[in-house]
Amino acid sequence: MIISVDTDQIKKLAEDAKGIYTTLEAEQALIKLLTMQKKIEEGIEVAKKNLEEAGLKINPNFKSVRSSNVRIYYRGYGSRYFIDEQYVGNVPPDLFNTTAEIEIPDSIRIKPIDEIHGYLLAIGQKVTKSKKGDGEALNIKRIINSKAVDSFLSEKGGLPVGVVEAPQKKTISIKLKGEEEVDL
Amino acid sequence: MTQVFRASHTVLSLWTSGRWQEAINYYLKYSQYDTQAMIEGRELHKKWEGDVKATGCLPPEFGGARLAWPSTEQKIVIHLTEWLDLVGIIDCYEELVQELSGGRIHEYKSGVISSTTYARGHQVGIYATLLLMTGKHPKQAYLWHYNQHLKTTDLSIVWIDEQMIRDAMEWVEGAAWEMHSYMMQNDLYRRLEVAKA
Repeated sequence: MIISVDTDQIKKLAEDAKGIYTTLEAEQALIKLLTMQKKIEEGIEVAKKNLEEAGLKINPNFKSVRSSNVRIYYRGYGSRYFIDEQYVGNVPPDLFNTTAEIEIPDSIRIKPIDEIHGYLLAIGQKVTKSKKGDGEALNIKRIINSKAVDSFLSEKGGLPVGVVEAPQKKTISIKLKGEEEVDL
Repeated sequence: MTQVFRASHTVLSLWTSGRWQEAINYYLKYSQYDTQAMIEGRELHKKWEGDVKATGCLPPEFGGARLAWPSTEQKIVIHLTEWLDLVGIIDCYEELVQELSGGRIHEYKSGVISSTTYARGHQVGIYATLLLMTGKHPKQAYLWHYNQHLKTTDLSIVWIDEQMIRDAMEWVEGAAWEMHSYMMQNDLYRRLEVAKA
């Protein structure tokens, strides 16, 4: 199968697509565009898999490749460290925060947000802003300051008791020059 | 006689990141201000130099692969302008890597900062310039990072091209001129002469 990407054709298809409101033939334009998108995305996924295999062959610890116009990163996602709860008392407090979602009592929950906020402040609860939905279940999270842990590690020569390196699944990401750089 | 500023990646990095006093201390070779990280880094570099010289292979921390005609701790100084020298010590350079039809720079890093961060900087461009000016043909750089606290390693690969070299030289000239002017205005070169004496 030959796939040629003709940017003029893409423009025309994009223009033709708007005809779907009045003619069913315009559906073909959208089908062609989406098919092209799917094939290209599949190709990129295969390229990423190949990049991962080839990179790991060069060195199992490879992290990035930088050329004139492309940046390839092989990175894990999520926090690099986590707290072992049985030793949380040993972890320097400045290395992490703890946040929680609390359930608002029935009598208060139906009040306007300002009143709920006032209630929480009155009982000594500092309220952090979150985009989550209803706070039905208590959800307490430890948020590690990775940079602070790195500084600790550099100064003391080891991680503090209670802080553990998190296993991370790595994936390849590819960026063009000019896109935001990644700090790993 | 024109006072010449000897620019290196280390001193200019300190200067451009706002660590002006550290940059001056480094330039004036005030070693009493060396941090534990700097001392550990130097010791590791010495060990790695010894590893390559003894085996012709990368140090074990970096996988131990055989190298193609490696040279170690190669110091290069080039005279860029009447007031500016550029100096660098290249940890390891493979003269001829077959698949590249050219050379490969190996730069070692220790501490907590990953190789990816170093790959974004100008060090590879500077080292490529130094090598080109001595008749070499570097095509690529391997930036090896060893975190001696966690005993982990990571690698970033950087392709060398003309734009990177231009960007690096622009950065060198800009930062060096700033620091050079500061040192002239504050008569700091005299301290270097006193220290030498």
